[in-house]
Amino acid sequence: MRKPLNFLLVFLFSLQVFAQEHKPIKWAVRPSAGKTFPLTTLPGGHITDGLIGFSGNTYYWQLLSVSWFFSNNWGAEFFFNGNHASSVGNRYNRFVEAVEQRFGDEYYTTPSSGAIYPYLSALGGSIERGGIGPVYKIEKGNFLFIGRAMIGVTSFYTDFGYATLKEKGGNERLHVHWSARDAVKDYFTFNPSFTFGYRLSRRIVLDFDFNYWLYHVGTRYTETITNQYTKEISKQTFQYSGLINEISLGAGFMFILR
Amino acid sequence: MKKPAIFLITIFCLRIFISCCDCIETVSLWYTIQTVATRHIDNRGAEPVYSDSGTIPARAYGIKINLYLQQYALRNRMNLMGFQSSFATSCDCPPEFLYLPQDTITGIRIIMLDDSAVPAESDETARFSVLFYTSYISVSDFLQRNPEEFYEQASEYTIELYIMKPEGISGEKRFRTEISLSGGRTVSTVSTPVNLI
Repeated sequence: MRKPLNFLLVFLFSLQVFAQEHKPIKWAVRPSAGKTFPLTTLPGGHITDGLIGFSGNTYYWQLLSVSWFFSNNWGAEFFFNGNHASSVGNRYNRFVEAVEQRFGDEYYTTPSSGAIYPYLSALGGSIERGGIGPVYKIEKGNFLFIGRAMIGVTSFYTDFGYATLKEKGGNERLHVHWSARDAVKDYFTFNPSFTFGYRLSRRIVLDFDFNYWLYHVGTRYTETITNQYTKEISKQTFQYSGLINEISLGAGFMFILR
Repeated sequence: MKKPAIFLITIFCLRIFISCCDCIETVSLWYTIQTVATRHIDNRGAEPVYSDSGTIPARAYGIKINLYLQQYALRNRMNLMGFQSSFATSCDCPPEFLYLPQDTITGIRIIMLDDSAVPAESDETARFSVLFYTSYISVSDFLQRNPEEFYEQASEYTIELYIMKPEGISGEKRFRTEISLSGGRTVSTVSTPVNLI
């Protein structure tokens, strides 16, 4: 046990000995990827859960991140990353199951939703995040530490849902519509993050990222059931509201432009 | 001032010529309703089942009306202008053929025939609604709709009526369906017996 420990200590101290003196970083881009874990997530349990293109448990990839340091330590950064989870991609199936579970005993159900065509872009995934904020950098030989306090936006889709219900053993027909009004929901997000990096060369840094995400989601779905014979309409709402806490762990490379 | 005006008019004319489409004049034809036939609808399941007999729950009962059509005359159109239709600024040509109803449906009556009851006949139209796509509309609302026009020759036209007020209907019944037409004619048919439970 002592041998590996001694080796590690010697290795770490020797890095300082062999460390080159680098010019302070002025401009850098930082593509990275990783996984996000929910500490608290969106409360649900409604028939409309499958219409929301949201999950706290996602993979992320960050293709766009630019840092500019106007002094040796201080700078500013902009980032945009995409997030996706298989549970977001197949949420239409969950919606169909939820409709069948709620109405299937009495009615033949024919659901449809915009969620059948899951939105997934190469850049933004299905849940998009972007932010801007001040950064503080410490460079020590080949080692690099960056702390950030970013503010930005987390965006995801809330699709409409629709179902025609035909009574089992009878002629009654109902139309059910679920709507969250605006299709895209944007939520103000606070995002402190840290990056620990090691210079592999003059321009390339291997970095490990830790992100904390804090934002409040508040949206609601309105369910409208219309009897196709009597034209009677009944409505109810499903509230989605809660403070979301997530952490992300990832790794990537920082490319020093100047 | 003249030169810009000529320039603009030229562009406008060029645009019209470019936009002009070589569309064929629509041939309009009359169709008329010749006869009517009905079948029973068993609507217990996810999709309706059509039959000529059997036992059907009254709350899942319906009548399928088949109107058999006949194209019988070319509709004359007066062309006082002496010009073919031009479709400048749009390339959406009208249909090649248009089949229009010569006489429209002005009334639908569903008469229930019950040999065991006195009186033996009763007008039960108010119990029924017309299925229009996935919604129900009343018979009177259905009659107020624009009459059916077809772009292709159609041999029949279907109306499905479903019983929405089944209370008090049970036993073996027959239904006489009467279709009144705007020309004064009435076509009717009597269904085979059905046992409503």
